[in-house]
Amino acid sequence: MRYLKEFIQKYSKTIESFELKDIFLDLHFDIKELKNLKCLTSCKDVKENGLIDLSQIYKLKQCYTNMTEFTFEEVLHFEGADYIIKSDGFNQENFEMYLKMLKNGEVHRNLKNLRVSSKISSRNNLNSKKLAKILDAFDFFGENDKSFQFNFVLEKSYPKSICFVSHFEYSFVVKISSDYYEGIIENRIKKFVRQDDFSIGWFDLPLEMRQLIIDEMDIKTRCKFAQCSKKCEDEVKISKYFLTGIKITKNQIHISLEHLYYLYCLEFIDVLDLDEPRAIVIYKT
Amino acid sequence: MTDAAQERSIKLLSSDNETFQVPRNVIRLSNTINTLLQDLGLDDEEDAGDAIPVQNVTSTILKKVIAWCQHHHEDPVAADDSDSREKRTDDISSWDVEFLKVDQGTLFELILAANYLDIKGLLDVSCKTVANMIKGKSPEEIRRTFNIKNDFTPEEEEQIRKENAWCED
Repeated sequence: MRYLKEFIQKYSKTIESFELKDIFLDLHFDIKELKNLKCLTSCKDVKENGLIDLSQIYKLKQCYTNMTEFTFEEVLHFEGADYIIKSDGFNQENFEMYLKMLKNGEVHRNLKNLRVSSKISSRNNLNSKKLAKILDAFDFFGENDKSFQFNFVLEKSYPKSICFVSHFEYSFVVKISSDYYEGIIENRIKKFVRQDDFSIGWFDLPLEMRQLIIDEMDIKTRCKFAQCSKKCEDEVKISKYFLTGIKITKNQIHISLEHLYYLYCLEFIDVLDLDEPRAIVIYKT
Repeated sequence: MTDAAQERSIKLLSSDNETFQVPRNVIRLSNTINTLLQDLGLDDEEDAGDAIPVQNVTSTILKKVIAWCQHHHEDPVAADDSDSREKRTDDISSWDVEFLKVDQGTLFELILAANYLDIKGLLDVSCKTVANMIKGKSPEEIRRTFNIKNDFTPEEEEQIRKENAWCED
């Protein structure tokens, strides 16, 4: 298991260049404003152990937002993801029980000697609700409890996983399998690991394949996709559905309301009466 | 292809020089391989000879492609879907859904391999999977997922957002 410090030292010139945005992905911070990064990256634990103090993150969050409450879930922004949790020492059942006890205060916080060995590792065995329990357990420690820290680790056997390791000698390997987060995380990790291997993007596919995918999208998805960039917008405009979605007869153009929306959104038509019936006939002029 | 030919197998050579023995009735889903065998007059041959090089497809991906063909080789031939109706992306079989739970790079490579080998079913289902990955996401999320650079000016972005407000849930 390789730790953040080692990672940073190996793949980056200075610890400071490992920015918070690369870890926490999507807190909607303006990166230019992240002047307080040093409060994280220069802290003792980061430098010495590659560990990041959660309380520092709380402070940082409070610096940049007006939020007074800050959950671990927010930090990690786990919405809608599937997870693989691997925990040294717990099976699913006793892990949940442990969390419950932890939350109820039945387990002493000083768990440094707790050592467990079983694993939870199957895909999707931890859904969002279960994850929420774990996140609650994290919250149990509270922002003032500096003994709780976590680490950003890449494990060799899980090259696309992010590991969070507490000081209590149980560990989570959180494989974020949602495409969204894989995309982000791999992109971030790419900077520090290999420049050529981790991430593949839309434009790495040939145009023909991109068009096939666009052809499979419903109209709403196309409109969302068209908003991504000018090039995406162009690709949507030349997609098969756009070209074939209108039936032209001798003196009429038959078009569904959905398709009309679609054309409207792509600025091919200007006027749209939303109260019209679903099927619309537009007369040629 | 004769029955005897269907029972035979051929060898495929991945781009990283790994050889795979594949029953012909399985690899028949690949129009590229079918055409190649027919053009070379090897379709009814007992021994198709040397391994057929499958350029640009690594052993990892080729293995998956063969697994997909193995599962689907007895499927009825799908009708050509060339009409202009809006397509569905919720008709992916549970087996395919599980099969395509792979990282984005692998999924893209599968698409490229399916296209190269002209395996329509695999191409369709993998493209649908990518379309499903996009479905329900905001433009920003799509950009992140697929590393798309936002080249709209803030004004243009605001304008396009307003125009597309109807498609917000």
